[in-house]
Amino acid sequence: MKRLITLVFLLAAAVLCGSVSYNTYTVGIGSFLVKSQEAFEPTEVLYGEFLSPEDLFVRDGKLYVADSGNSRIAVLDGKEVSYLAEWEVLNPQGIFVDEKGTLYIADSWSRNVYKYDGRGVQTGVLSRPDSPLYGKSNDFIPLKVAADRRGNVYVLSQGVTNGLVVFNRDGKFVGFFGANEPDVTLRMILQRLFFTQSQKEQLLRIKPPSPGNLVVEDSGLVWTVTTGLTDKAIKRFNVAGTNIYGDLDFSSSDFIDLDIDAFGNVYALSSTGLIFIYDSYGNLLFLFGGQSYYENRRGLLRSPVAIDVAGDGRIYVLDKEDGTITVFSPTAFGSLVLKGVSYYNQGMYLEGEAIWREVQKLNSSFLLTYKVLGNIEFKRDNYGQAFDYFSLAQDKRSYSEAFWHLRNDWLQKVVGLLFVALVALAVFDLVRSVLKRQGKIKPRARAGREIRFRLFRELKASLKFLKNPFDAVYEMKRNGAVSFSTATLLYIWMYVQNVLILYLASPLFVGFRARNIDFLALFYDTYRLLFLWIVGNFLVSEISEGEGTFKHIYIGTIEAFLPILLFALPLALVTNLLTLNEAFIYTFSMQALNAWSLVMLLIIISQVHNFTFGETVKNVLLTLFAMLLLAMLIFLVIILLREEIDFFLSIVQELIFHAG
Amino acid sequence: MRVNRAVVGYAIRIALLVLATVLLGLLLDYEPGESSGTPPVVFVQRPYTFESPVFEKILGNENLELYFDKRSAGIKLVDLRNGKIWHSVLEEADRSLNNVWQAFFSSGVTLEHIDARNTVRRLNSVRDGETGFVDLSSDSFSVAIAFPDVGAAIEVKYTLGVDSLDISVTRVEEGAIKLTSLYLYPFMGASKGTVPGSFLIPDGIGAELDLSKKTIATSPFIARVYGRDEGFTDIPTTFSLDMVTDPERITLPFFAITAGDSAMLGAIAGGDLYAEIQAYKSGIVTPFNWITTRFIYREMYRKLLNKKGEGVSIPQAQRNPVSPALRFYFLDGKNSSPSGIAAKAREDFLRRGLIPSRQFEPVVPLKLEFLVSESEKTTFGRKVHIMTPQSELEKILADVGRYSQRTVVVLRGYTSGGLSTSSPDHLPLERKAIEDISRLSDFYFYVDYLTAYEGSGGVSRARYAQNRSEQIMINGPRFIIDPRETASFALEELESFSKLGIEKFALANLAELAFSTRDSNRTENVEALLETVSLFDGPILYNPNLYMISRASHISDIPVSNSGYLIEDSVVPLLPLVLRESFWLFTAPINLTSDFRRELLRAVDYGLFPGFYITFESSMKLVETASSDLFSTGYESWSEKIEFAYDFVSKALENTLGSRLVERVEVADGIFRNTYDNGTSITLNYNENPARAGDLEIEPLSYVVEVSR
Repeated sequence: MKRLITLVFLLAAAVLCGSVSYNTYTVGIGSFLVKSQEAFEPTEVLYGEFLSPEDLFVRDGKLYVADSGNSRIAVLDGKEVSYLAEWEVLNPQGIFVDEKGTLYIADSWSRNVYKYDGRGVQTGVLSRPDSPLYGKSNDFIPLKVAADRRGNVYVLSQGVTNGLVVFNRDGKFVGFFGANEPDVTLRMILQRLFFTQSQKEQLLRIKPPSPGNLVVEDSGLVWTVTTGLTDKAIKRFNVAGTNIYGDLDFSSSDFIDLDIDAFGNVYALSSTGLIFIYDSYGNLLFLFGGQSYYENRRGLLRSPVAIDVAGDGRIYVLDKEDGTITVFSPTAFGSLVLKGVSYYNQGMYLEGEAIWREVQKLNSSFLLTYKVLGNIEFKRDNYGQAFDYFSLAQDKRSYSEAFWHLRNDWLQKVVGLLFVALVALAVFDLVRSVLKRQGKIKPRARAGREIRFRLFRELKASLKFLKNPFDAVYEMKRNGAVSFSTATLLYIWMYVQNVLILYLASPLFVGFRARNIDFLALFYDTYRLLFLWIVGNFLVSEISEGEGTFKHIYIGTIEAFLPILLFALPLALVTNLLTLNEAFIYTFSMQALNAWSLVMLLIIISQVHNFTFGETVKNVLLTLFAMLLLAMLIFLVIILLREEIDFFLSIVQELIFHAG
Repeated sequence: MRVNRAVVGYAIRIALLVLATVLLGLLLDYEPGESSGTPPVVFVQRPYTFESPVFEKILGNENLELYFDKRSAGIKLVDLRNGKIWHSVLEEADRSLNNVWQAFFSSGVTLEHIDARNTVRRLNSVRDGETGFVDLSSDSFSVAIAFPDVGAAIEVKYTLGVDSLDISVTRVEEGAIKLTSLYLYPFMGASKGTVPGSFLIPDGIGAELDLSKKTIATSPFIARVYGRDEGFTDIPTTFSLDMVTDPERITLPFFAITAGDSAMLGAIAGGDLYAEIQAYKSGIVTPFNWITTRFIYREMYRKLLNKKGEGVSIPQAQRNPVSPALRFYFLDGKNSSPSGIAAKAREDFLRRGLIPSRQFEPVVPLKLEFLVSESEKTTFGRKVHIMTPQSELEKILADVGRYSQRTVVVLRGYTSGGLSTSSPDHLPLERKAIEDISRLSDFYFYVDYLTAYEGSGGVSRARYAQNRSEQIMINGPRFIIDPRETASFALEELESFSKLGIEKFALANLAELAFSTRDSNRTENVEALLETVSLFDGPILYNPNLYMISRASHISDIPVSNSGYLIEDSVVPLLPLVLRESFWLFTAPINLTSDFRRELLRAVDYGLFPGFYITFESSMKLVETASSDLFSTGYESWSEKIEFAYDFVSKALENTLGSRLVERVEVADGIFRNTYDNGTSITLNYNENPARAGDLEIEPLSYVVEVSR
């Protein structure tokens, strides 16, 4: 059944448009969202006589709209509109048109998926599978539908959490596909641990969220989008049903639909009217759009439900409440970037170079530009340039690779020199030991000299902790070898060292933004555990008859961290010679330092309090428990104080207002 | 002694108890939304049935006749030149309207006030009012409209001119109500359904609402003249990504209705600071097309009670000092086109001294703004990036001088420490960038006395402006300074500037922002800002509001579009049509837009000269500064494009200098033809494909000029 009616559309050509009613953001240097010039602008608002339309699909210049409220499918072709399946469907919620022009309609009221050919003749119906594999409790309420080239049909059914329902070309149910993983929270884990069997039975079974929409790309791979998830909201499944799309750094928990363009870029629509455009790796290219209930401005949406990208790059967004379709067309800048991205994603770096150079001129904060330009220079073996670009792009892997090449070049230059120096050193040492043995050089007299400054003396005494912590603690307790003030100096050094590490270590290990130090946060990070430990240990030891005083615990604790105080900074400096391939050197060394410090801490605590091994373990466990309690107490006090202050302030405000 | 202490203790306890009880009592007694004072009057709405108005001729001249209906205070104006009758009230009952709308459309005057529950109620002159003549002369008369139920009354004066009618409110008495707003002849020139004709509103550059097209919009056009009053807007306490942009501003207070070969221009001659333009097209609420001005006496706002943003909605305590006055011009024939209407508006503004009449050198100018330096926050203090040292600036200008007949140069960020640490104190100069100030005396120095980053220039918190909710007001990332403080900041510096030989300035924000503050209204603040601006001689202003326009030498950042409301059908360049003959009008920086070619074409179309915002260094250096929104300013990237832009615009506009645009028509989809009174016509093609218009072949995104010899 096909009826042809010509409708007058309200068209607004590009030149007539008002200013763009939304801001456009992109990812800038430092991986922040930054404002950019518009990538897309609303150029037309199409209006048919739709009633609560639910979905739209663009294929070969024709626009298909699931006109749900009127129980029909509207097909817009230029300025003409015709209707399909009028009253043969009840509440069409999802539509899909394949390459051959076959139209698939998901009808949630009749609980069927209908197939129509290009002439509007119904050619098939898919209903609830009666296979036992489908599951007794699963209903079949089709909301969205898509099909691949082989004729497999993917149906998103309301309430089915096993994934998409898949039918083969003959309409036979073949299984489920592309389910989300269940979202397990800490609370659930705790419930599982502590609940009795009968309590567990009362809990609902943990079910994964079901996807909210799907699309099949031209090559046949299936994409889903799930409302409520953020970094994993968009998934691209390979044939085996595994997600091969990266996690999203910038995302929304309100995604309701998505579409893929010919170059693999992803266009995701949120229920708040925002449009996110990602490249095929999940890098955010642009974010724009917005919601408006009352303003009625072009480009702002009231209740968006579906998005589709046409072959010419224009984006169509359907608004259910207004019954309108807003068309967003790429601007000169938007087109340029998308063209560049298509080259980049195909690995055609050099071919796309001119475009990216132009993008850089037009927007110097566009992060992806530097990634691409880095890759271009890398391909040309200009590792220095590439290194600079990757550094701007803050792309660790590529930065590391470029650095490897730079280091390699440098090593090759100095390797001869280095070899000569090593040989010279060896010869010198040999000669020296021979001479020493022959008694021609006298060994330097070492001991006996008294160090004049107390600080240096105490620092030297501190070093003993490394050699023999048992003796060192004895010295500290009995002879006061290390004073309170020297220990405090070491505590301060710990903070200074943390600052220096952030400044001096390679960005591969501390992050590219490490130098933007939040001093207060770092202070807090450095000392909070130490503070809790010292206070906790003191309190616990007081009641468990530990021998140590507060001063001893204070000094002993920082001395335990001597390995870190001594070696972490040199290690941080060494990272400047390392690439990610040698990252293990750094991580292993850091772990070794940590382990060493912890062992020292155990020994020192046992000596400070004069505990046996068993007592030490007990003391440490109790201290940990006390730390937890202390932390909770502080947290509570802060919350209460804040509430209290707010309460009094609002009383005062209300009184002032009332009096006035 | 012991007893005494106990007694004192008891006394203190009892006193505390009493105090607590009183406090509690105050709180319990309090009802949200109710402020102290006299209890509002409860009044019962009168019943209403439609009656046709009975018009009586009161005034007349050779062109116009004015009729008046006493019952509704409605008027009818007959234009004798073309026989057009302009109605201001419903003449026949309309069954598609309910009683509320029927009464509203049948009234010449409608007052809005709030009742005890802070909901808005209307008093219609036809239903609730009693009209009586006060005064009558050969060209004017006055009436008093009383609303006896509430004791309110207003007096309205009507003056008939050769082609105009002035309607002004000369007296307002509130009686027992709290007046919030006034509609003055809202139905004037209204029509029903889709009819030939349009509404014109200077929203941004100007918008046309085509009445012959059905609208898909569901909301009317509602916008305050000179932009929203931010003094009544809460500042959000939580962060959210700023997605929706502000609508464009209405800088010229007028609206117009065209109907066939006649038109009516409504100039808001009084109360413009408190005027709101409303436009409804058929299908939005009622089947009528109507456009009007609402004058606001009291604004509703949220009084914040705590930091979380909870509060109560209350009306402004003091009434705004509004003197509503509308001047309707009735135009016919050629004058009823948008350019004719704009010319009339211009004439009106000239007559009132709001815009100057000037002669220009016949050259096409180019405006370049330069960012001299900007600072970046580092871990330890700030680092200054010299973006355009003087030597490079001079080289750039020498380069531009090859082709530009006249270059207007504005310098920003010349202050020691860069742009974001400047304002409201702009001196001393950044010596690392500026070697010889004497060579810069021809340039305009950008100063901002109205906004500042927190802490910059050592502004104490008391000097910042607070909104009615007593929050410090912001403009983007910057704080707004109390308008009454701006003059002192400017005065402090002007002498030092003068010693350096700097006499020319570009003023930021002073001419654009109009707002109320915690303890002063829009009028007082605008007066303070006017006082500050008057300290400067011929500054460059950025898209100024009408009351500031006459102070400008040149105007920049003219918007090239309207707000894009769905109800708006197309862009009509009203703003340049009114201002072009008095000022050099420049575009906002073209290098920061997304479509260079289209932007240039718009400049040619609207008669705007190109403006750019340039740095010598690449804008990459600004990424981590407060000027990170300057994403593309490097001269190296733009030098060729600036030359192209100048060439593109000057080749067209050099033929139109000193002449007036008389007609602008869309000859085909995306093809516009502008005809000037010197016979020159420019045909522009906004399409991506080549186009033909008559025997003209026009390249995509280009134009063809035809000069009459």
